[in-house]
This record gives sequence, structure tokens and C-alpha cells, in this order.
Amino acid sequence: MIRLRELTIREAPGLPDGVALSSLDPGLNLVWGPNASGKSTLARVLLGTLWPDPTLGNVLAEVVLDEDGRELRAVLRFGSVRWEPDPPALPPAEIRSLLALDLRSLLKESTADAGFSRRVTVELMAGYDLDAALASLEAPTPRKGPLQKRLNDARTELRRLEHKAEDLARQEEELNTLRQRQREAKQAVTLAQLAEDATRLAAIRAEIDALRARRDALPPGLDRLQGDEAEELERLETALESARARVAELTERRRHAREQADSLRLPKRQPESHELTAWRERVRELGKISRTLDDRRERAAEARGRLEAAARGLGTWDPPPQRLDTDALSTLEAALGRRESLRARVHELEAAVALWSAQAGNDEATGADRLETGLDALRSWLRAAPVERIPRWPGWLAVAAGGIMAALRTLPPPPPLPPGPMAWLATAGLLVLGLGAGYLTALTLVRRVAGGTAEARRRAAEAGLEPDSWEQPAVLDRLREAETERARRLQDEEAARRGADARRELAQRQEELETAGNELRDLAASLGLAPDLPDLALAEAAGRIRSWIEAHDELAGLEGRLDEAGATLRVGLEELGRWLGELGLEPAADAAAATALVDELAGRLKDFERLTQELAQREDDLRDASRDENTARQALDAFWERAGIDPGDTLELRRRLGLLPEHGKLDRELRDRLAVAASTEAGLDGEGAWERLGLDRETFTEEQARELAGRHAEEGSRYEEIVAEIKEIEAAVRQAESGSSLEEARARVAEAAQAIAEHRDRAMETVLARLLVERAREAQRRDHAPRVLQRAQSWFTAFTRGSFRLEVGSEGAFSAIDTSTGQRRSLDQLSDGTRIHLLLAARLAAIEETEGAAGPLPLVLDEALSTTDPGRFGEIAGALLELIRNGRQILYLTADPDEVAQWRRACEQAGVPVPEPLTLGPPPEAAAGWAGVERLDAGTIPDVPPPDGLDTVAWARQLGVPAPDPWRPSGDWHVLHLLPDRLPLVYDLLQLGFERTGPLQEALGAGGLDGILDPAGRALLRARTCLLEAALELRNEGRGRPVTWEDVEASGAVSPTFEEAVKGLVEAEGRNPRAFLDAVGALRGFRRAKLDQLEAHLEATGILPSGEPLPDELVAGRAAQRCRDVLEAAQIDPAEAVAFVRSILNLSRS
Amino acid sequence: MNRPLLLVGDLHLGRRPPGLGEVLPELGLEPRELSAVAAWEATVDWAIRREIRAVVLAGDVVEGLRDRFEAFTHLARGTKRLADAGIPLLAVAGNHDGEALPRLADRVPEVILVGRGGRWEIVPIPGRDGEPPVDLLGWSFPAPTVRNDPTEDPSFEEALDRRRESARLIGVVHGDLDAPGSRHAPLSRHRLAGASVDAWFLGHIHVPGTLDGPRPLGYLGSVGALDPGETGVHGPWELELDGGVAVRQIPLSPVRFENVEIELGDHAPAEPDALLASLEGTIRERLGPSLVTAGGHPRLLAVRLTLTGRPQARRAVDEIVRLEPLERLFPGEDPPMVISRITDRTRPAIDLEELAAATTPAGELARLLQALEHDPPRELLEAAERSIGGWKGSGWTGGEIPPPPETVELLRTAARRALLAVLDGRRDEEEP
Repeated sequence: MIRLRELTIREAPGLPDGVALSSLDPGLNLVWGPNASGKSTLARVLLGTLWPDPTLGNVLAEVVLDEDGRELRAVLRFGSVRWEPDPPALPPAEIRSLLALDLRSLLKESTADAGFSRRVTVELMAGYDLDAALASLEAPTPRKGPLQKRLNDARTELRRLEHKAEDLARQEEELNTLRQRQREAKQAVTLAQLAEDATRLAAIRAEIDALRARRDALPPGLDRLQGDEAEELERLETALESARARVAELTERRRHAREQADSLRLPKRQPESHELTAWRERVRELGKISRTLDDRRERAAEARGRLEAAARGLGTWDPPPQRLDTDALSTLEAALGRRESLRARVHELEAAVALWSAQAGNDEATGADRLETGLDALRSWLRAAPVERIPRWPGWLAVAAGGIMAALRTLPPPPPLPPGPMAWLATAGLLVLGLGAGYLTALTLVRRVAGGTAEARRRAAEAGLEPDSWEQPAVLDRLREAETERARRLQDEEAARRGADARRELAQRQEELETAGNELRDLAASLGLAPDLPDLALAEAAGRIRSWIEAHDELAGLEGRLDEAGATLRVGLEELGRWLGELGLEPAADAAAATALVDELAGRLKDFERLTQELAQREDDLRDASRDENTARQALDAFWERAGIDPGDTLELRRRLGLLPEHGKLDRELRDRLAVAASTEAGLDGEGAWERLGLDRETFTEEQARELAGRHAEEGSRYEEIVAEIKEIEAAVRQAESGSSLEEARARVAEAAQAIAEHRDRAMETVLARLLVERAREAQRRDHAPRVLQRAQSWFTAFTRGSFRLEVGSEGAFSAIDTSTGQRRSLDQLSDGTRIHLLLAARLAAIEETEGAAGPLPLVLDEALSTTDPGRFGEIAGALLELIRNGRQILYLTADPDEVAQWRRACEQAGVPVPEPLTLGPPPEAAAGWAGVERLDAGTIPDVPPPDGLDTVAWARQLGVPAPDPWRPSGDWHVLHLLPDRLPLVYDLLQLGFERTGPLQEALGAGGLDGILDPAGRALLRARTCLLEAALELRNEGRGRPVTWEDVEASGAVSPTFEEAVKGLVEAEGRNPRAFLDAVGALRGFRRAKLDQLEAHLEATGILPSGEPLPDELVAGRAAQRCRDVLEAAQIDPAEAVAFVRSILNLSRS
Repeated sequence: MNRPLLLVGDLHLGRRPPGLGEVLPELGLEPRELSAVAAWEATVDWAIRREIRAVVLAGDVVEGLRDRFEAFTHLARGTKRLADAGIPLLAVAGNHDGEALPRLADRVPEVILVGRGGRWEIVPIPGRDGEPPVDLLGWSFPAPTVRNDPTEDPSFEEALDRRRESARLIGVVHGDLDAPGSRHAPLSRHRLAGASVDAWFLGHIHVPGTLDGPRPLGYLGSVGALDPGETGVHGPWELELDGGVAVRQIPLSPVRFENVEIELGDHAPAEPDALLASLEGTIRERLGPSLVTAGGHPRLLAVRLTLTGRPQARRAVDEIVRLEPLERLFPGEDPPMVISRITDRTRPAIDLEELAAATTPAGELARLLQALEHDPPRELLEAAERSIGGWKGSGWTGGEIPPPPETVELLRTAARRALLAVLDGRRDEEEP
């Protein structure tokens, strides 16, 4: 027996604050609440907790039940229910709708007579209206109607097309026969044509025979004549005469050429052409040498004149015996120039010496020293004088006073004074004494540093710079005067130094001038000139000597070249004379004669050669002319022979030429006929006509051929007709080949058949479905109806307090027996109240039949009687109180205070305790376990597909779970990665809104999942989250971390120029810092220094790996060790923990 | 370079997939674009594009003798294109075209008919310089019916004796493998495997076989799917003879038929449109990359969908089952998809076992349904047979009409419908 104790709705649509019922009575519970206060929801939640209702997905509620004295607690969340400690034993969910009793519908039905009996039947059938079900499964009609027509039409069309194709196939097969007949007809046409050709051939052959007879009657040999033989004879005779005249002419011309050649031949021998060419070149050279000799002779005479003029310019000077060198003259001229420049420099230096000597003073250096000493002394006095004026007496006064005060300490104190003050007095005295001594010492040291004024006065006096008085202004005036004097003296010293330098250089230049004079004298002597000549004379003499030397050298060169050319000319003329002698000619006297002689010889030789060639040509021409003469004679002989006439018989030739036209005409006609006959024969031969026609090629007659032609022409007359028939069939085939009607028709048949099949299958399904419903009805009537009816009768009697008894007739019709009168009444004769009692009885009977041993279960009535009148209310309430008396709990929900009052009255009438109405209100503050659960927002409840039938990977794909990132915190990991082997738990967590492990960990820590998840689940989650966190931390040790653009930016190593490129590399390579650096280094133009800067930053920030990563085994072992406590709490074996960590590490790798 | 051969299974020129005519105009498609002709044209395109060495047809090129006219143009045009590309076409005749194919081969000289008249024949496959010699061993149906195993014909051994030692030998034949007594050239796997042939490729059965292993032996399947029963990938096969024997199927079928079963859960959308959209997404996701063909996608994906599970969206399921195919057409994505039939095998969104424990009519039906799932009561089967006997009579079966499902299967479906009807008919207005 189940009793509802508490019901709390934490959250539901329209009830943000929830509602609660507590301390429910095991009997009647009147629940009052205004409209929209959650009464209907309360009823749905109660039933939805007992029999899960997926439509309650956004409700959070808790129900407490009593099952046979055992408290059971249920939490409803997202449509699923968790029971603690375990769920109650409940009948099938079928009963849920029966327990939610809507009395208003009963009341409504009670007012209508029609169908009331059916309604009772439905109630007895636990609410199932099987008639309605059968009506929805409308019995199919077995008529195929349009479907069959469609199929038939399609079949007909297909058959038609198939027949058409078959007909066409037959026609196509006949095509072969037709084509054979076509070939035969064509053959007959051909044979007829051949026979006609043979007929024509026979006629031509007869014509040929006649022509041959006429030709044979003419003289023989006419066929050798062409008709132009007379002209040909004349032409041949003319050609022979012409050839003979040509031979005679050429013989005369050959004789004349021979005579001319003999006259040009040389006495001894004819020179070779190369000899003549060489001598023509040679005599041209000799002529050129002869002209050069004449020119040089003229230039030698001119040079001799210039030498004589130069000698005259030298006066008495005799040239030395040896050849004079112009280099000596150049040395002399250079020496003259150098002496001139030295003289100019000496004059400059002498002027400088005079200038500086005049500017230099007469003071000695010692005077300057004294002046410096005096200046130092005056400056020392000026520094020391202020210090000297500081008085010494204050120091001495302090020393004296301090000494006295210290001395007083040695004396005994006077009677009124105690010893203490005396000691202080002595100490003060010593202090004053010290100060005085310090003052004096400091003054002495300062004066010593500043120098003494007396010493300064003494040194100034010694330097002669004593001022008028030793007062500061006078000393300052004296100091300024002394400084002026010192500046003047410094200028004098500079002038003296420069004068000395000029004097030293003057002496040096004068010495060089002397040396230059000596050298010049030696040079003049070496040239035979007077050593003491002035410089101008020396220069003039040198110029004239240079002119004489140049004239002398020119004359000597010209005379040498003159002798050389004369010798060459002589030798050449001698050799030419020898060669001319060889030819039998006289030698030449000079170069001009030699040239003329050789040129003449060349012309003569050229003429001789020309005549020789002409003679050879004449010989050739003569030979050709003789050959032409022979040819002409032979042609004439051949002509006569060809004509078949004796040579010279021109009369016979003329006679035959007169018969020639007739002979030619006969011959042409004969040839034409022969050609036609040959062509016809060839055609017939090529066609194999003789065999095909059965004729003998040589002996057939025209009549035979004509008879054959007629016969075959008749046979071939059907050819066109057959061709047309074939074309017609072929056109039909082509049309069939271009279409797809057969394919379409076949597809239509298949579609129509498919439609029938679908209709049939659906119909059979419907028939069977109706069969099954009927069988279910029969089973219900057989197995349950009697018991249900019995219960209904019992309740009906009870509700009517024995006034009526329910009976069922043989036809299944209900009727009520009035026990007071024994009268049978049909149902429509019953009062409204009695009919309500009947419906209630039927419903309760069905409930009891369905709930079985789990009953009686609570009934829930939601504002069931709010519209009924007090009379009916009393009837119904009485019946319900009867149920309560039989142990059934009832929740009556109402918003009407009058109903509460009516219930009170009904209870009082029935003699049962009046229940205190329960008022709906928000639940008390959340108990432990609810506080941490986040509030539900129906609008954001995740729509999570269940993992039904899917493996982890497939479900993860469906959920869109992102790939895990080992560099992200463990809290960012998806819960599926945490619990890949617990998909139902993941599903619950996702529905609770926990997608990532971070919030899940927080909720676990806050106890937010207490009461939602069982303790084992919570412990498992704690263990797994701990392992995940530890595994990631340990795995990432020594691996650095991925580079981000923020890291790069912070390094300051990347300028805007490279920003985009490096951002791209962060995306591509950022997970591997080393590879990222390599990629940045490979960027064109990225400087090495900046790369180092970037690397240093990545190292400093721990991005670049600083050590070796831990092996997987070590990571797994250490992680398990870290999480030892939570693993123990979750009773997880260390090996299982290690396996989990390995799976995390594998995921990280993927 | 060794060019591959292209092996083409049953073409059946003259046939087209039925039942799609209603949706094709919506997609701008002509029926012929899904027909055997389209598959043949795609095969020719592929052979030319891939510079195939030779195309080999394994019989049933033409649906029947009557179809040879409509087939001729397409076969001749394709053959001409192949010949222009230097690709020879070899073929054996099958039971459907034992008469038609020889006639077509006589008219299209480029078609090399192998094994004419039921005599085994070896034909060298032309190749370029440097390509290994390959011979084709083939046998053609001499008549529509052949009851003897063709390999028992003496010409089989005679042909094998004439094989070139240096050449690879590929066998192509049309027939029924391991079906003794078949009227369509029953072939013994044992005898085929025992012959010294490098690979056997068979025509006749439209479901492609598993042509793997060092010496493949099996069916090429139909080139284009021709009816909804021909599900999965269809197309010709490329045969590589570099060293070993390697084959791969080229998915060229213009239409793809699939049977898909989807289990609907509690979260299935309750609105028919949303449910259809969800189902479309699930189907596409499930078929996924397998839908990609050699030429992109099939022109149409036609799915027969079976729904299972216990969805809450009961009414939505009822509605989409009743929709016309045109209303279940999804032209938006490539390939366009039509759910041509939906078989509702969902169960009510109730715990059937729990319901079966109830003493209500629904509980009774639930118990019946449970019994039908496992051990159908004979008495019930007999009663069902009696009830639907009329529907199995002439006029409703036979001929072109597809046979009905098994009675037990019908009963299961009917039980689900009955249960849903009873549950729908329950007076549930009492529910608060």
C-alpha cells in the first residue's frame, strides 16, 4: 500500500518559487490554492514521479512516499527519477491516467444519455475505446479500381510496343531476304547492261572488217607517209647546202689566225705569265725607288744649306771632333735656370733678414724672466692679503680662557659648590682650549697655503715691479702694467726668431748659388765655351750649337739613305737585263725604260695568247660544221628510205602524196572502231561478262547478245520496288532505335504494379491490425471483464448504499436493478447521481484490476466538482469517502473555498473526521543537497541527445565534443573525456548543465550534487577530476607551452612589417615553440638579432621547453599517487587509475 | 604504362528505375537520366577519360530481344566514341541478350562478341607497345536458357589449351554461380577456380560481389541501379594488371538506392517538417562520403526508410508516412534525395514490457507484439493467413506486382499499428 507523505516542487514552468505539500493524510487531503498556484502541476508531478513522464523534463521536484511503512524518497529532475533507497513496486504506467480522476467529464457524460453505456464499457476497459480504435483502422476495400486500370493500361501499352518491336524484328529479318532479292535484281540489271554492251561490240566488229577491206585496196607504203614529205625534202636539201658553205668559210678564217700568231711570237722563248706578272711588279718598284732617289737628293741639298748657315752662326767656335750630344746642352740650360732661381731666393731672404732685424727689440731674455717672477709675486700677494687680515687674537683668547678653566679643576671646590659642577667646569675649559688651539692651527695652515705677503713683496721688489703702495688697487694696477709689458716682449721675441731663421736659409742659398756657378763653368768648358761668359751669352751659344747639331745630323741621315736607294736601283736593272736576254730582247737603260719595255712585252704576250685561243676555236667550229654536213646528208638518205622510194625519185613521191588523204580517212575510222571495240571488250572482260552471260568472247553474234539483254532487263525491272521496300523497313528500324517508348512503358508497368503492391500491403496490414484489436477485445472480455464487472457491481451497490445492482444482459447491455422494487432500469432511466456512481464504480473496478497488489493507490482529483450542484457533490463525495474508508488515499485539489465547506459537510454527514485543508505555498528553505544545485531555467535546459546505442566516439561526434587540448586547464575539458566509460552518467551531467569539468568540480566541492548523484558517482567524479588535473600538470612538465601572439608581442622582437606573417606562424606552428622559432627565422628579411631576442623571451617566460618531459609511466604513477586519498574514497584500484591517466595521455597525443 | 581494363556488369539497356517518375520533374531530370542508358554513357565517358585499354561487357547488355532497337543507337554511339578513342569493346552475351547482342554486334562492327554461339573463345586484348599481353576468355549465351554448366562444354578446355603462355588470362561469363539447376548457365565455383585463369568476372546477379584476393571471382553487379532493391554502390570495375590482379569499383550509377533504418528517440522532433529535416540530416550523415561517385554525386538518392525506436513524436511519424514521395523530396543538397517509402516500425513511446504486464487491451496487444517478435503463435499465423487470403489471390500478386511481405512480418507491422490505434483511442482526457 502506497501513501503519499510529502510533495515538493522546487521548480516548474509557471512556478518559479515552487510549491510544497507536507504531512499528507493517508485518507482525504483537501488541497486549497488559488488559480495558477500549481495544483494541476502538483498532480502531474505526483503521477509523473511514480510513472516517469518525459514531458516533465523541466521540473525539479521531490516526493516522499510510504510503502508499507517504509519511507521512499524520489527526486524528479529532467524527466528522470532517482529513488532512494529503491523505487516502490508499482503497477504498469497504464494506471496513471486512471488515477487522475476528472469527475467533470463524468458529470458531463452523465447528462447525456446517448453513448452512456459505451462510456461505461470504456471505463470497464480501463479507458480503452476499442470501437474507436477499430474505426481508425478502416477496413480496406478489396477493389483495385484505378490501380488495376492503371496497370492494365500500362500492360496494354507495353504489349503493344512489344508487338510492334516484334513486328519490326520480323521485318528486319525479312530485310535479309529483301536485300538478297535486291542484289539479284541489281545483278539482272547489270547483266542486261552487259548484254547490251556485247550487242554493240558485235556491230562494231562488223564495221571494222569493212574498213580494213577498203584500206587494203590502196598502194602499199602509204601508211609511212605523213603528207608533209615534199616540204621535208626541201628542208633537208637546204640544210645540206648550208653546212657545206660553213665548212669552207671556217677553213679560211683558221688560216688567217695562224699567220697573226706567228708574227707575235718572241725570238727565244715565250715568258710564263707569272714571270711577266712578277717583273711588272718589280719594275714598278724600281720606278718608285728612282723617284725617291731624286727626292732625297733635293732634300740633302737643302740640309747642306741649313748646316752651312748654322756654322756661320757659330762664328769662331769650332765644333769638337767628337759628335756633340744635345743632352749636354740641356744640362747647361737647366743649370742656368737653377742659378737664376737661387739668385731670386737670395734676394728675398736678404729682404726678410732686414725686416725682422728691424722689428726685434734689444731686451735680453733675463729681463723677461724677471718680469715673470714679478708677475708671480704680485699675484701671490693678491691671494694672501685677505688671509693675512684675519686676526689671531680670538684663538689666543680661547686658549687662555680654556686653560684657566681647566686649571680651576685642580683646586678644591669652594664650600658652597659641590664637586660635580667643578668637574663640568673643567671639561668646558678643556673644550674652549681645544677650540682656540684649533682656530690658530687652521689660520696658520691657511696662511701657509695662501703664501706669505712679505715674501711676495720681496720678490716683486727684486723684479723691479714694486707698486706705489702695497694696497690692493695699486698692486692691481702694477700687475696690469707688467702684463702689458710681457705681451710686448713676447712679440719682440717672435720677430727675433723669424729673423734668425731667414738668416740661416740665406746662408744656405748663397752657398748653393756658389756651387751652381762652379758647375756652370765646368759645363761651358766641356762645350768649348769660355767659362766666364755671362748667363745670357751662354744661353744664346747653347741655342746656336743645338741648331748646328740638328742640321748636321739631318744631312748625315739623308746622304746615307741616298746611297742605299741608288744601290738597290742598280741591282734591279741588272737583273731585268738578264731576264730580257733570256727572251732574246735588249736590256733597259733606266727604270723608266724598264717599265715601258715590260709593259709592252705584257701587251704582246696578251695578244699572242688571244690569237692562240681564237685559232683553237676555229678548229672546233670547223669540226662542228663538218659534222653538220654529214648529219644533213644522212637525214636526206633516211627520208628516201622511209618513204620507200628510190633516192631522188620525186615523181613517185608526189603520186603517193596524192592518195594519202583517202588512206588517212580510212585509217582513222578503223582506229576509232578498234578503240571502241577494245574499250567495250575491256569493260566486258573486267565485269567477267562472257562467263556471266554465257557467251564466247570471240564468236558470239549480235543476235545472241540482244536476246540476252532483253531477258535480263525483264528480270531487273523490280529493283526499284525492292529498294523502296527496304528503305521503308530501315526507316522504321531507325525510328525505333531513336526512341525509348518500350523502356518508358516497362517503367510504367513496374510503377503501376508497385502501387498495387503498396496498396495491398497496407490493406493486409490494416486487416491484420483489425484482427489483432478484435483478439485483444476478446481476450479482455474473456480474461478480465468478468472480474472487473464484478468489482464494478460491488462498488455500484456500495455507492448507492444498496439501492441498485448492476447487471449485464446477454447482448452485453447494461441495466440497473432497483433493489427496493426489483425493477430493471436501463441506464438512461437512472438519475444523474446514480449514473455518476456507475461510472465511478466502473473506473474504480478498472483501477483495482490494473493496480493489482500495489493498490490501493492514491487518487488525485483536480477541481473535480467545482461546477456541480450541492446534491451531486454530496453523491460523489459520499462515494469517495467510501473509497477512503476502504483504504484509498485521495488528494482533492481545489481553488473554491465553497468546495472545502461542502467537503466538511460531507464528512460530517458521513461521520468521518473533517480534514484540515492544506494551503499551497512555496516550500521551506532548501534542505541540504539542494542548496548547491543551480536554478533551472526551462529556456536554457540543454537539449542533449541520449547516447542510445552509440559508442563513445559516435556520441561525442553527435554532441560535437571538441578535441581535448592538453594545454588547456583540466577544468576546460569536456566531461565526456572525464567519463568515457560512463555514458549514462555523462548524459545526466550534461542535462544538469555540466559540460566542462571545472564547474562540475566546483559543484562537487560545494555539495551541489549531493542528493542528485549517488555517493559512488560523486566519489568517482572527484577521483577522475583529480587524476585529470594531475595528469595534465605532470604531462606538461618539460614540454614548455604553446606560443601565443601575446607572447610574441611581449617580446618586442617583431616589427609591424612581420606582424601578419608571424601571426600566421603562431597559428601554424605555435604549439611547437622550437619549430615556431625555426619558421620565424626562415622569414625573408627577419633579422638574426630579433630572432635571438624572441628566443630569449620565450626561454625567459618558460615557453621554450627547459627540460625533458616525463615518461607516460611516470606521469601515470605520480598522478595516482597524488590522488591517493580520493581514489581510496572512490574505491578505485590504482591500476584502474593508471589506465585512466594513460587514456588521458593518449587523448592528449591525438 | 599499363592501362587498366574496364569491366562492365549487367547494363540492361531498355530499363530504368521505376517509381521515381513523380519526383523527377521537380528536379529538372528526365527519366532517361537515371536509366541504364545514362549508366552506359557515364561508363563510356569514364573509359575515355581514363584512357582505358579495353571495355569488357559481361552480358545482359540489353534487356531483351525487343529492346535491341532502342538499345542499338546508344550502344553504337558509345562504341563509336570508344573506337574513336582507340578503346576496343569486347562483350559476352547473357541470358537477356543471347539473341539481341549477336545481332547488335553484327550491326556494330566495333563490338567484338566473344564466345558466340555458346563456344568458349580466347581473344587477345589489343594493347600498346610495352603493355603486357592480356587474353580474354569468354562464353556467350546461345539462347535465353542454358541449363548446363558452360565450363563442361569441350570448347572450354580447348580454349584454355590455346591460351598464350606469356599472356594474362581474364575470364568473363554470364551465369548463375553455385546454383545447380538454374536455367541461366549454372556455374561451378569450384570449376571456375580450378581453371588456370587469373580472374573471373561474372554477370547476371545485380549485387556486386567482393572482388578481392589475388584471383578475384565474383559478380560485377549492375552498372546502374535499376530498382530499389539494388542498393549500395553500383558501377563498372577497373582491373589493373600490374604484377598482380587488382580491381576497384567505379561508382557511376546515376541513381543510388539505399535502405536506411533510423531509430527515433525521445528527442525526435514532434513536427512533421522538422522530423523530416532531421531524418534527411541523419540519412545524409550516415551515408556521408559513400555518396560521392566518380563523377561527383549520383543524380538522385532514393531512400527506403524504416523507422524504429519509441519516439514521442508519434503523430509526426504517422504524418510523414502518409506523405506523397513528392512531399518527401529534398532537392536542396547534392545529391537531391527522395524518401521513396517510409516503413513505420516504431513502437509506442511506452515500455512494451511494462505495458505487457498490464491487464488492459493495450497490454494484450503488447503481449501479442512481444510474441510476434520472438515466437509467433501458429494459431495466430493461421488466422492471419485466413484474414488476408483474399489479398494474396490473383490480381493482387503475380506478374509484375512485387510479392507481399511474409505474413509474420505483416503481423508485426499490424500489431504495432493496432497498438497505436488502441492507445490513440484511449480516453485520456482524464489526465490532468
